[in-house]
Amino acid sequence: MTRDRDDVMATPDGYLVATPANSAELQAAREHAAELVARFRKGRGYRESEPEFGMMRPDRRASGADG
Amino acid sequence: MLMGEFETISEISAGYVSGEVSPSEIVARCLGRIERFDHSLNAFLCVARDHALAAAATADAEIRAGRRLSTLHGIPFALKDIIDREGFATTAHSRLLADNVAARSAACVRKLEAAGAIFLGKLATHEFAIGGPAFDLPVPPARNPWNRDHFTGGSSSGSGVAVAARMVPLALGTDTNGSVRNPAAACGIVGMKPTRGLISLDGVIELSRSLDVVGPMTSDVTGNALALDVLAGISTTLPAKSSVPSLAGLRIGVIRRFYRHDMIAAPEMDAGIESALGVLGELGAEISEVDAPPLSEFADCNRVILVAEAYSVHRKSLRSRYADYSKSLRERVLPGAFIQAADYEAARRLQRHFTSGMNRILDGFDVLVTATNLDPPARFDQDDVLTAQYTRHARAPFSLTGHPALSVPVGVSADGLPLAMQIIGKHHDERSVYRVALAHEMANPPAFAAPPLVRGERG
Repeated sequence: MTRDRDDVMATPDGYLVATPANSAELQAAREHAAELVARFRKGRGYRESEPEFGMMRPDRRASGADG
Repeated sequence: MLMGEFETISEISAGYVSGEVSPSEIVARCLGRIERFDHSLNAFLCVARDHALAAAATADAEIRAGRRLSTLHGIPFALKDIIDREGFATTAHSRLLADNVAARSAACVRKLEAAGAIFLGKLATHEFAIGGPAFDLPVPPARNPWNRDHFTGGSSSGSGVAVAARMVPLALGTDTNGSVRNPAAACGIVGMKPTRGLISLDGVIELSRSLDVVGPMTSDVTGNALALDVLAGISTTLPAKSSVPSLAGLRIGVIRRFYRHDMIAAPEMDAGIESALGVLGELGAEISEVDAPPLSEFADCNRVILVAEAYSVHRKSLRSRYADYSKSLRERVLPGAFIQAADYEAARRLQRHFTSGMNRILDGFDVLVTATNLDPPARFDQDDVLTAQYTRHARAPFSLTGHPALSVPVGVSADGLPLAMQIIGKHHDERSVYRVALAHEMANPPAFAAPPLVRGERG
């Protein structure tokens, strides 16, 4: 099988290797993830919640919700 | 027993106490409706007929002898098929678990059965609570009892359908990105996503460990509270009232930006919510608008966490049995393989940030109100609309923050499809959420009507 350089050869963890049966789905999944993460990083909340080293101040009520 | 009588948990339970009806009669009615309706609705994957009839006979005798265990004694319930019930298969609506018989019941099921509730069967879900609605699985997806050409919502699809069609008075669903509230809204019933951690996830197939919640689904508010009380060992049930309770002094914050600015709700959905707010205002509630971060930021954060965690759950099976999963599950889970650890960790940090922010908003109110879904459910054959609706909702913020969130009906569209709103409370304050929902239900009972096929049965 020949591939373009940008084709997905495998998932980053190596669990799934691209085959003719799954390569289109893996390619679509990588593109979907890239779009999702790009949108996520653009958010104001993302920028506000990114800590400087040593500056984290967790809200105890927030962690309490995890029960 | 006349048709239309003893439909809700509290009505059935009171009927048991008065001796007007018995568990065997109620179980027989449920089985009769399953036989009449479910061939066209596909809500049940498995009906525990023999077990339910035997358990009902036992409950008849116990209640007659004055050994009533709880309000749920003799009440039939059914389970989304990712929740274990000992001796029955938990298939997750998937080829992968076709023969997966549970050796032990889930903790939530043990609580219901210890209270005397009667297991009636397992219900359709989207595969592993995320794929679907999928037509490439051996069992077809559930159909909406209001119009079987329309989507049920999901992933607790069978739970929504079975309760809406009055085939069972109580079903359990799970909610990771709205999977209790979505089918509750689409099927015109009451669905609670309680505070995260309130109900044990022991014996429930994992989708996303940071987001999964078990929740009760019922036809009315009081029944929902009664079920939650047993499931969580708490007391949220409000004293029965013959007149509509006042909400004087209660503060409600409305997050309209989610459905008027960030996304635009269908006009009928918007009007239904406004009408419900009008009812709550007339009952004395102080209603004011409140702002929140954009809906898309909650949704993207939720999605990063969900797909990363879901992929970690399924990656081993995806390697060995890729083709046995539905295409829709693969499409939704595979992106998780490409999320970097740093982004996942950033999303978990943002989850805490948003939770703190929502706590601050709730400091000024007793409850919040917003949309559940932004549209009535689409037709199954409208692929593009169905796909678009997958992201058109306001459920993600509270999946992320873990606040209790209840979807309740607010009416029916011109096309005869359910409309709904969402009521959100402070962590561990389900009681205030139920208080508002109950007042609305009592003031506007037509909003909680059964679908036409059940009304037709009543003649």
